[in-house]
Amino acid sequence: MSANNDINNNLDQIIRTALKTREVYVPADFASKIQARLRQYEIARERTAIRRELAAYVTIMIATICLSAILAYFISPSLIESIQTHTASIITGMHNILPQLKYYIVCTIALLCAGFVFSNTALD
Amino acid sequence: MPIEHDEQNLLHCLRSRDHGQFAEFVRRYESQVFLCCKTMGLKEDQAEDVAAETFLAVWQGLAAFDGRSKLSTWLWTIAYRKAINLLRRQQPTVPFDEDFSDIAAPEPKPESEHTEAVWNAVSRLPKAWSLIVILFYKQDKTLAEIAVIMGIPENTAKTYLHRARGRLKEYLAHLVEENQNVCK
Repeated sequence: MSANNDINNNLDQIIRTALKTREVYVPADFASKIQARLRQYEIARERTAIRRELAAYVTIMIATICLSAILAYFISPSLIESIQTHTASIITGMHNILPQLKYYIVCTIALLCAGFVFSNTALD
Repeated sequence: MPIEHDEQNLLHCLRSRDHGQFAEFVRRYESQVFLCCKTMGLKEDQAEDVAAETFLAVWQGLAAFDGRSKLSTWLWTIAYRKAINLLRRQQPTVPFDEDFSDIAAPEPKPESEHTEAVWNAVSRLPKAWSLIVILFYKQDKTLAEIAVIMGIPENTAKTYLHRARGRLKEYLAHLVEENQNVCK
């Protein structure tokens, strides 16, 4: 039993010493390559973040315009009718629409503010 | 298991997302990652790819690393999984009897016959066994850490180590005998 233990201890010692002796080959400039890849990765990540943020803003703006149009329609149904009526001669008919556009403008500004606050909170 | 003090400092530096600090980290641990890749039988270019992927995964996962295991254990776990994934994608798999002659540097220092014989013997073991032998004897990992790295139960790791040791005892019988005679 003791002889067997001796053999095992001996074997352990031989293996440990031999394995610890040899150095592993690593390409000389490996750390620099990793740094370069890291920079590329960071740039790609930043671009993706910017693209995502931009997409979010655009979506919110489109939604805001649509929502404000719907709201404006409920507040002042004649606005849409006026736009329809004066589509052909929008320039000449502008003076008829302008007084009613204030509903649309107020709704748009309010919704844009709400949209920006919401998107900033969500993106953070 | 709590991580060591210097590892905690290193982790703190890495979490500052400084590229210079990360390059230092890469220099410190690159040999371990390459050792893992080579032990798993990856070729030079594959090892480099897996090592690069491993370090990028570390960079991405730093925020999620909770420090329950040692940084090196976490690194070995990632490297092992990446290497396994690559091997699984490859058909046919790399044969088990591939030797470790390319693990050493292109111009290695003169090594004793013992060292050569032991590395050759380890290379003849099945990959999982040789990895356990490397982790246990070269990296001084505990069986619990080895189990975490390889995603196997601790008892399985213990069994593999026992079997690997038995096989190495056969392969290196002459060395053990020689060593014992010297001791006497």
